[in-house]
Amino acid sequence: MSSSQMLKGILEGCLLAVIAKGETYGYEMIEKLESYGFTMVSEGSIYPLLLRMKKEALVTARVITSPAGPKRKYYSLTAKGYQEFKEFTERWSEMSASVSKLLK
Amino acid sequence: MKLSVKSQDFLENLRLYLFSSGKQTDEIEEVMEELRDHLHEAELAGKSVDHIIGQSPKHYMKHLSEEMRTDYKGWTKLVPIFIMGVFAYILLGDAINGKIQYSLQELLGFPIICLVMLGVYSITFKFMATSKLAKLQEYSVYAGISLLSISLFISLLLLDTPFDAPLFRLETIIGRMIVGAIAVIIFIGLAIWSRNWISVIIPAILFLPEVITSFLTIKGETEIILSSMLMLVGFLIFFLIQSKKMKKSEYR
Repeated sequence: MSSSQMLKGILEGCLLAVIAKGETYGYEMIEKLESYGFTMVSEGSIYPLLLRMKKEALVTARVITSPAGPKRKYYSLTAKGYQEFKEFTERWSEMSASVSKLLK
Repeated sequence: MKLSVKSQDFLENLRLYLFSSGKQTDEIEEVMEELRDHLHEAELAGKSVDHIIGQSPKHYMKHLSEEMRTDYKGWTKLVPIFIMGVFAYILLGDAINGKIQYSLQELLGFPIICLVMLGVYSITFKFMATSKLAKLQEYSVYAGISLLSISLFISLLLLDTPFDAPLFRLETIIGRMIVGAIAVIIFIGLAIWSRNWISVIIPAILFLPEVITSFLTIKGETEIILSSMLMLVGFLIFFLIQSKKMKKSEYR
């Protein structure tokens, strides 16, 4: 697994986490990620991931036209998405525990 | 608020790239809409498009494209439509000039050239979308492709030896009128299909002057000069209207 692939896997898990907190759209996801300190993520990189997650039926999307702004696409998790999020959480806590133990 | 020129350029290039990669139009529009919204908000927050796309636009476009479905069905529809459109030009031109006869070589050669040109267009558009070319370079590329297609057609005509018996021949006036009508129907059909009258306007500008002058009593050089002048005026009016439309849509 190359480092960029690993990062993609982690980013996908984080997106699942952000969307699990409530229906949201692309730019808001980035703002939330940034508020947690994810500044190394280039903003556009979430869209290819969202496309894939939609293809894999982890998320669903609906377009809402706001009265003032442009059309906006809101994402929410499917049952499969919640399941994947749970598995990611478990995988991540195992891995991060081992890595921090090793680095100590 | 309007998007910056750089962001707009990026979106237009992305559309071109995804289209030449054979993605579904609906899906392309969806992705475009989402990115436009994102760029809009990001620019309000004072970020630039570079910050959003990261590494390189080329890399990013490829990445997006990999996650989108390729619309093979749409392309298999597009190929015969494209070939029909090219054939309609040849048919109408020949119907007016009165030489409707094709050899096997021509009947096979035209579709093959069309396929080759479609491939060339697809590769060129992808290249143009990902590389920053100056306007002059862009025009040279377009001129290059046009030259290539013209020389392919000409070499087909040259290769076609006059000794080859034509496979198909029509000489009667009624036959020519029927062929001309078929070509016109194809052009109108294309216009309805693409929701764009350009597939009727361009052949009209190209061929109508010849038809009009052939009904006049003038003959020889004057006829040729008059019909070319009519064609030139037609194109001038067309470009004037187009550029006015472009300016209008910019202020939208």
